[in-house]
Amino acid sequence: MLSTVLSYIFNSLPMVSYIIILSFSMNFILYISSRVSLTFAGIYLVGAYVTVSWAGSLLGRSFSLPGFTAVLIAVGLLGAAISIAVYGTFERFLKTDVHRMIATASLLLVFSGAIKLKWGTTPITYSAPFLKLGMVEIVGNVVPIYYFFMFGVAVFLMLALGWFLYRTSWGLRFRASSLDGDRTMAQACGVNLNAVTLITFGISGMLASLAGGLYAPIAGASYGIEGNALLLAALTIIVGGVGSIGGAVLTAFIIGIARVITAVQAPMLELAVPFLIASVTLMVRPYGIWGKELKH
Amino acid sequence: MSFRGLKSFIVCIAVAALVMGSMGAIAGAADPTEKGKIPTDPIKIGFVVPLSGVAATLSPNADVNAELAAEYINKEGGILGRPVKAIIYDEKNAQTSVELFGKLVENDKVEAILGCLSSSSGLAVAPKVESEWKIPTLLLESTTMALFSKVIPNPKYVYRIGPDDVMQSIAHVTALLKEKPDVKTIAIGAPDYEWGHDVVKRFQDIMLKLKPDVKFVYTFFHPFGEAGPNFAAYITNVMQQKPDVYVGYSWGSDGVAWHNQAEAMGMYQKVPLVFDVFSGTAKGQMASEGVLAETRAGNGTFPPYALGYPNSKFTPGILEKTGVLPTYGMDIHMLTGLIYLKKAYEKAYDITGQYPSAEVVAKTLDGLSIIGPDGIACMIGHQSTSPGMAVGKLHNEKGKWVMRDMDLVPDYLRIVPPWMTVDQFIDTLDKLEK
Repeated sequence: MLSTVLSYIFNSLPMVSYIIILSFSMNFILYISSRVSLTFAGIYLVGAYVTVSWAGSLLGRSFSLPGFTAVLIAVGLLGAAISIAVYGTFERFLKTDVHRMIATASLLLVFSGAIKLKWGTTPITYSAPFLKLGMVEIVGNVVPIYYFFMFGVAVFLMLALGWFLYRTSWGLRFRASSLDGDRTMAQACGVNLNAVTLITFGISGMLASLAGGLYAPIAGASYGIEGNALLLAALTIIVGGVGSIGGAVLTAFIIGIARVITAVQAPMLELAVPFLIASVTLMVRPYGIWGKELKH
Repeated sequence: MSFRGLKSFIVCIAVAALVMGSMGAIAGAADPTEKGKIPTDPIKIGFVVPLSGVAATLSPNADVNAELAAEYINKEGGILGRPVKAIIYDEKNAQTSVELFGKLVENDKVEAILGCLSSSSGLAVAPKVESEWKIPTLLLESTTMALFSKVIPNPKYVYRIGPDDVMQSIAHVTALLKEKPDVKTIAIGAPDYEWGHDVVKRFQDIMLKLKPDVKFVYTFFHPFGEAGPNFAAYITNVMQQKPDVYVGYSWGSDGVAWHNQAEAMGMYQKVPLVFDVFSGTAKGQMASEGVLAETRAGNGTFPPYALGYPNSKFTPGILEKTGVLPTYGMDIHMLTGLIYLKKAYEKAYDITGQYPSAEVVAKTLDGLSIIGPDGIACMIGHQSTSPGMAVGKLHNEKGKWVMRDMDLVPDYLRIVPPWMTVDQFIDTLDKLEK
């Protein structure tokens, strides 16, 4: 019994980690800047391809964890730079959420077109970190150590974000201009909203590309992953609530474990489960399980 | 007779002469000894092949290979002297395939279409080809049995070059029993769509016919073509069931993800024998030492390459242009398809003396024999007999994956005779084996 329960938890870890990071990428912009932006899904795609490409060419078969971590940091910075550049040259001119939705959804086509030009249409893989970190056996379950690495990175990122938002003066400025605060009042008090928005987009881009980079050794980098990423992130926000770090983490566990259980018990429902959870949440608590009714 | 009357009489005579002259000309054109005129412009052939999505790893460079197949035919004189112009589109998925077939027929005005790796695409386009587009269509794979048994039971225009699921399953079961005759328990998994269910059912039926005491301890169908799949739950369950053999039908990007995840979780060490059917594809991204894999005559490295068939002229060109030999039958099936078409056009023209219509070409394809890239092939009951099959063990030789201990499935075991149903054929298998 314990072994089965643990197998559900362990097997869900990669998806849980990926959902936590990815959903907060979208959630962060939504919460702090009150903007809907789907660009994160395109950056996620870039993160996956660039990680596979850079790690493959720089590390090759001689895998090392510090080397791979360095690649991930570089990919995170690249994601941040892309996000800031896209915001500065394109997204900041979009004035309504409808425009932002349509324009950033179209932007996803540009991202996938660019990927096609650079890497072609054949999926690419770099699975050395996943394969070479080895595995451990816990209560009869074989678990790749990479699952723990991935989950550790996700938890670290969420703790760092939590610390930044709730323990620093800059975090106070972010919260003051968030959906929980009052942007006009924050600006009147001297908060530089432009700087806050730019940094928000940078953090979102970093999270998105890291999610892509971390998951790529497990599933490879292929066309279409951005669509799946978009759906999972949106569903997680619906269930967890806007701006809630705890909500993102717990929802990721709910969706991840639910998918693993249905994969074994009722495989036909595996893909439908996140949608069912989101539908029930919307009926019972439209602001998300850990979300709150927002002023704006 | 007045002048007006004379004028009318002359006009009538002139018209009559003109009509008689035209009739004479028509009668002359219908002279059976004189051959009809063959257009001189290029003959447009449509290709709908996977260039992106889940199938792209299975058949990388499909567009280049389609061009190369057209070039090959053009060097051999084209089709009735007309150079082949390949119009190539990305198969992507079933819905897109239907749209592209419509575009090829209605906008591009192609005379025949080759395409559809995925059964879902083949099943989607076939009914429309038969009822609406009425154009010779050669499906490159689309191996599901449902195609000719349920979806288009009386086909006129649709033919298949790739194998059907019975051919595939017989090849797999016989090879597996040869490798592990004492097998008692099997876990089997496939992607969750028409073909996946079809191939698993066939495998199980044939295995139980040949070895009734085998138990299928775990049968599952994972999501098909999901971006970023997580197969950990399925892999854990396979290992927990402790089967003698795991048979996996995951392919394309699903197959690569399955392989990586199964390897990281130690499945290849824990299960005594793994038969990852498509592990020879995807440029070695799915390969593990000692794993059983399928290969087909379409594979560029398969024996006919050395036997002087067109393959020996064709595959080096692929190697030169793409840097890799094709690892899956589809690329070679494109050339097979064009050779079938070339032969059908030539035969129809020889018999009728006229440039053949789509209907005549389609009729002529039935029963046609060719020397294809992988040997002699016949179109029997709209199914080509060409794709010979073998199963071998993967081995890494100085960084390159090769197949060893290849078991070639004999022809009599992989073609359902036209006078038998599939179930009747499966019923005879144990007698054939003895």
